[in-house]
Amino acid sequence: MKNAKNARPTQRLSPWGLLAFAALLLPPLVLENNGYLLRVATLTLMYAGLGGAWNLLGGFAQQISLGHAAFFGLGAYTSTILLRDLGLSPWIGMLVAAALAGLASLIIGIPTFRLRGHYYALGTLAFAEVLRILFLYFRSFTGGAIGLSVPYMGDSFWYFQFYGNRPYYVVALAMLAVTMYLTHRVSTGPLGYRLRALRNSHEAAEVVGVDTTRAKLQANFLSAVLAGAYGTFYAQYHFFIDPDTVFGLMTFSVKMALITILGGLGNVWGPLVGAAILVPLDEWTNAVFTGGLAGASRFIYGSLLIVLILWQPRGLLYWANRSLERLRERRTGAMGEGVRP
Amino acid sequence: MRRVLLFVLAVVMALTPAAATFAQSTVRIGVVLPLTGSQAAFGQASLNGIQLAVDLINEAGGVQGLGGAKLEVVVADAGSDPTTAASVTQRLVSRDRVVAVLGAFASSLSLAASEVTERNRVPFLTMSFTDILTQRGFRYLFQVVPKGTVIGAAQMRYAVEIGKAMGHDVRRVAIVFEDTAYGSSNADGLVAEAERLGLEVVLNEPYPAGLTDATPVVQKIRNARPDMVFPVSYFTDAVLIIRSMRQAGLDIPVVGGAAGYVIPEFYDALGEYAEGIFSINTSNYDHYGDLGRLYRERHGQFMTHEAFEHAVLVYALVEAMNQARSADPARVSEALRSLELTSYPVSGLPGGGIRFDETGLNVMTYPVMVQWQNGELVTVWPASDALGQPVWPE
Amino acid sequence: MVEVLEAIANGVLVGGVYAIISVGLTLVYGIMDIVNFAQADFLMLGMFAAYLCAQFLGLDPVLSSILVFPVIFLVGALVQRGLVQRVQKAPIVSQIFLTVGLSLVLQSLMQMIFGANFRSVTTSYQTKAISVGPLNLSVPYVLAFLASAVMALALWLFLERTDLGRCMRATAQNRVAATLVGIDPSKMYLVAFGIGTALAGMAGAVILPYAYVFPTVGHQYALIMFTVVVLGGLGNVLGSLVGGLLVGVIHSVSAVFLPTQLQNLVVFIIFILTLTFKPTGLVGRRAA
Repeated sequence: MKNAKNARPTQRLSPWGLLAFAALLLPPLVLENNGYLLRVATLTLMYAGLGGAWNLLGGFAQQISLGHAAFFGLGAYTSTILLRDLGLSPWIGMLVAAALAGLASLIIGIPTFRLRGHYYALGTLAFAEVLRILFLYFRSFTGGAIGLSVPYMGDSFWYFQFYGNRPYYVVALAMLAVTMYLTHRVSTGPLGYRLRALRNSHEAAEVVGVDTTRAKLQANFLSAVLAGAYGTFYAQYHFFIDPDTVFGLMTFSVKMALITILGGLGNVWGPLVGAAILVPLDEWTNAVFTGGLAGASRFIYGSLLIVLILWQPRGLLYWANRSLERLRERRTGAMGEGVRP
Repeated sequence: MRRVLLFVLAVVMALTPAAATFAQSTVRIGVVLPLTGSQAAFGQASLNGIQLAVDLINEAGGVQGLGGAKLEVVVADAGSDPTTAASVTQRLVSRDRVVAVLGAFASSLSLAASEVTERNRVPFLTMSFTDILTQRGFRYLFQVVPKGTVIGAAQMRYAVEIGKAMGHDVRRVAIVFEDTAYGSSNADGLVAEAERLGLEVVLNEPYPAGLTDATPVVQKIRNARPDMVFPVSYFTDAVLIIRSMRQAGLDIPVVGGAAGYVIPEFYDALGEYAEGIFSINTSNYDHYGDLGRLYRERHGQFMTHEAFEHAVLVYALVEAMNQARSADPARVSEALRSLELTSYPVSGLPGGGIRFDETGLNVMTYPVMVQWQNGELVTVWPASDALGQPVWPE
Repeated sequence: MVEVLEAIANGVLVGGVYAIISVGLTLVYGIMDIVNFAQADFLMLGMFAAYLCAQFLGLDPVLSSILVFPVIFLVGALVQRGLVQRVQKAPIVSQIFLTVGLSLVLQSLMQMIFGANFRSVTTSYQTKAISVGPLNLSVPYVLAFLASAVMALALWLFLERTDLGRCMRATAQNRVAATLVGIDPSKMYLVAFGIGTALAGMAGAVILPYAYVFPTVGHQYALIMFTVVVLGGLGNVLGSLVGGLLVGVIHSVSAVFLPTQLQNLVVFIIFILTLTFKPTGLVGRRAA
């Protein structure tokens, strides 16, 4: 974490990274269009993207938000209501959703950015709850607890509705690419530098001339814009949203954080790694252990979470990087010996 | 490294139980229910009902129309998250190749699951009842119970009719409901019917589900001075509301909205204070006959309506397969659309059977009013279904 | 007017219980700097323990809370030594991750043992009320409030008058200094986590006469706990008592004037306003 090498990575995209990302184009080609695996893969990309959005503030600056479902839910409702009332294409709705979520992040940011650590986490949590309650309360506009069903208009690109799973996968992949590119740019740019500076100490960062509030507002704005756009994706993919789900603490807020933490905070690839483990793990325990003793699948899932975090409290990529470095050192060491004679 | 991780992902996915080789002699039925989380008790009861029906059918020689093929249940847990409900439904449909999916008890889970079945053209049979389930123009959705607003309307109408029959004029009504899909759609029906009957709705109050203190709600009821109160809530809130009402000395008649008011735990928790409480219900165990008796032997509790109605889903599906002589989801759906089933045990539903209209709604059935009498739930209204006399709580 | 008075009285009674439900969370935070997201599940464990006492020993839950305390203390101590200790020095995020996983494990474990059914006890007084002047007060609430008051007093005496309590306060105030004067922080963590979880478990027993238990019942109390401790100031024992009473009264009184659906909205808005103007809670961290 305080590794000097990681403090300011290069702007250039790594060819290995690009190659690995390109490999993600394969699943829709080999997997069944309406199959289960492609659905899990699509969900994995979606959660990876959400984790990526969360990572912008939660990862680089370690300002732990437990209320990102606020932006996600706002996005889901915005595009769905625009589609319902004005027949507006969800693609345009997504832009509006992202803009509204960004705006909300500024409003939420003002009172919460004075908060540190746990206070910030619980303050953001309260904001998501406020939105959940408001969306339940204003029934005539939001549909209330009954939720909103996205009107089905058939296979239509314009209305962001597809019969099969492949187009959704491609959209999710494109969104993930944007998210990861953005996090890469932030990570290697001045904003990333400021965020990392304030991660360790706000005061120290202020001393060296970082406007911490501004940096946090900027990061949270980007983060919220992305989360809002993902809200639209979720609504169009699932065709049904309700306040308890899209503004939910366990369904989205905590999940975004868990995924990023598991993969590696502040690492561009962290959320993808985290999602690629947690989402299939969740599905796998559900598939294998349901049908026996009720509760067993959740028990095993929870136990595995504990084991993973106890094994690598700083995330899996931290461990992977360390192991890789050690391996390299050993290899160069061995080579050095070989050259001597 | 990254590719290694992707490889791990692939391995994990490969470890997922693949669709076993399709044996000629078994038919797979998918079941999606909330088996963990706050609705787990209801999900488990629903699963018990399905399991009982499947066991009985298999013991009696399996599915006749398919040469005695045995039923095999593939269960998936939806937790309390619609996202999970949708993905596990996809698993049942595309990996386990089930002939149909039954479930998912909670309305929000059923809405999510049925989006998947519809796109894969697999029938989805349900006893969830929020109105939008059947308003989406789906062709592969079949709902055996009435719509939420119809249930709410009956709750109001029957209560007034019972009052009239027993010489009590009901003019002022109070409605309190949890702010969930189930509570809201029931309440819509209650309010509309009260207006139609010219009653005065003195309180129409949603409250956050999962109360830790029911006193504020009960104070509102007391201050509104209703002749009758209609609480729509799950078990936990139901118990808190009734206990707080008794503490406040409120003894006006209570007409609950199914869910929490019609399960054995309600009586266990309240004992004599449950006596005389009415509730609307979509069916009641005093009409279930042998199936209800077997259930009680197996689980030591009476068969709740969700257990019975999920068993009914199994019988409806089997009859459709018998008629289609096929386990192909499309043909089974075709058979379901023209199904008319009035034989036992489906006849235990009010109205005596199943016939689906073009939206997939069972048009033969209607709700019934039940009342706690001596620790048992007795069907008391309408007269055609009543097995006991209503008692006016004094 | 009587209405509002009654709402306030009811709010105070319920709030006293909220305070004692939450005080363990704040105690753990104060000493260990860990927010335990599984705290509400220890409340659930306590409710189950009290339910078993009622079922097999015929004990009233309010009485059996005395038995519940050591049982949950033991569970909490085991969890601390086995799991929480390992993330004591890890970043906040790892601690959140661990306790969220723990919450899932505790819930599903109880479901595997007891099933998902709703369980409750019947007592002779649970539907009774007493009249105090014009006010009508629920007997189980009054009992729970009194029990909570006794627990709060006992906790105060422990922290103020015993050596162990003083050591704990010293650790909370300055860990380095406490270590220098010979206090073993590891022991303090163990005791703090044990007492913190046991207090939640005990509170679970106390509320069982008017509530019910099932594996995920904690969800209904978790948000209240967090609100209470943040309002009062994380880590401040006195603050959480104030916060508890405040949340109880807000819940109760706001429902007189506003739709019940919005009672939590009012709480959260006050919560956010408090944090905006006093970012470390109403009472602040070091005031106790």
